[in-house]
Amino acid sequence: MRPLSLDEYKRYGRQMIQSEWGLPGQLKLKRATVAVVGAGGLGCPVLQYLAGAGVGTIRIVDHDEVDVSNLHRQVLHTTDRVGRNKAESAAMAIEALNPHVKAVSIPKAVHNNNAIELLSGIDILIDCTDRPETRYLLSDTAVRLDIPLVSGAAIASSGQWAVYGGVMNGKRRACYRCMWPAVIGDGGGRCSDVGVWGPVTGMVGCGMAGEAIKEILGHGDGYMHMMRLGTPLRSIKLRSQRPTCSCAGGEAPEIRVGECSTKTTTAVERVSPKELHAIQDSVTIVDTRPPTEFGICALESSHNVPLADILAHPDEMTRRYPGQIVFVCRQGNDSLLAAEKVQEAGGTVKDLRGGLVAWSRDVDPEFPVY
Amino acid sequence: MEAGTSNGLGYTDPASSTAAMPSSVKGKERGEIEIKIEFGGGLHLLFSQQARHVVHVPAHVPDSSPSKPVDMRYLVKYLKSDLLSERIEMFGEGDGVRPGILVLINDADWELEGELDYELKDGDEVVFISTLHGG
Ligand SMILES: [Zn+2]
Repeated sequence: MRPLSLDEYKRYGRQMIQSEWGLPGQLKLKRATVAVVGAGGLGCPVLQYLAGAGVGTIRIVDHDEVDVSNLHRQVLHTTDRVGRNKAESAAMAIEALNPHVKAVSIPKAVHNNNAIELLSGIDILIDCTDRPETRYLLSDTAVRLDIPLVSGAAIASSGQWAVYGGVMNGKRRACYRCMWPAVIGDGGGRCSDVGVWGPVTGMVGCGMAGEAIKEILGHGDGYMHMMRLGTPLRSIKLRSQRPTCSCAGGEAPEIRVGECSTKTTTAVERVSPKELHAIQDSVTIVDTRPPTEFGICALESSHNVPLADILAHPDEMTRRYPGQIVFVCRQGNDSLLAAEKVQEAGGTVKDLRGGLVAWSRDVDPEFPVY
Repeated sequence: MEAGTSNGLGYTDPASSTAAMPSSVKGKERGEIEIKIEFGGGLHLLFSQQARHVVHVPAHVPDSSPSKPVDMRYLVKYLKSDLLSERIEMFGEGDGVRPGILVLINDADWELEGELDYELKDGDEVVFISTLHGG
């Protein structure tokens, strides 16, 4: 009885003929069960290469729906699947790619109460999520299940990936908390706010898929990789388990995010898009977005002063625009912060609630949303 | 941080970033060594929003007797007093750096190099990095 079907010999031939792979390696992949949490920019390339390589069972966990703004980087989803659950969309792509793989879609969010239930019985956990809280939860879950965690992240043109936890050469590898016991600031920001190169999520995802396959084949090593387009890849040896870490029985400190954000206490008057539309000609509209975003689309007669410049010199704004200023931005968060600071400095301000997204929805449907 | 301040993770042209490496101090003087510093993962926000710096520090800790080669303890203290543009607690803790900041000395985890006791050499590269979260 052959261990693989004839189609599988042919399908996997190009990887199997390598000495570090062979038939035994292919069978290890076939018997493996992995879970990929997040079928987004990182999850798509990870899933694509693991499915192509013939990992036997792949659980895909994602509660989110495909959005058209995902498609520049989330390469398993398609235009006609916009609005569908991402786990289900990814499972469809995997089935089309390789019918020998069992793709199990789980259209749920992972949280404290269901992580163990959703993820037990797997050999490797792959973190393709984008929230720090989820990243630490997945690391803690991998520690509890005593399995390795492949974790990666990408933002703008930078990325990082590594295998955390598990045992290598008889020694316990550092877990995610051992390496990153706390979050500094907001962890570089979110793709929806800061932007991201599609190929960068692809490169990090491919790196993660490679690490997962190495783990399954028994060739795991202990490096963390850090990339940024235009600079050489940095690869550093991961430290071993930190004796005071929760993975070694110590305390697991609560993870706090975004503590560098500025808080003010003054209440600023906020206007709806329709209200701004009515007074548009009698006020100065200041758009606080970065110049690149202002260059994509902007309200007629609005002035672009990026948030950082306003925060650096709020009093300058009152000199430059002595009358009524209405601050706008994409979603209404940065503009509110700017309005508060300028009001504190003595300016007469209002803020557009909901930002330009709300303007497009309520006043001008032709105004682009990005 | 809010949009509008660069998160420092964006694209840089390799030619421009190496040729025009910004320098925090003028020429290197006698008895000084040159250290390349890079802040990754958004930490540059704490250092005048500039990811790369070149600093010149004395080869020996001033007023040490017997004369002691300059070490990471001295460099971290120098960064806090001369280069840091934000509140000190965002970067430092005690003599060292906050948990969650990984320090690389010539691309090796500083834990393997003796951390604060590592003796710096002319041309060393020190990278401070924190974790990213996007995906
Ligand atoms: Zn740990």
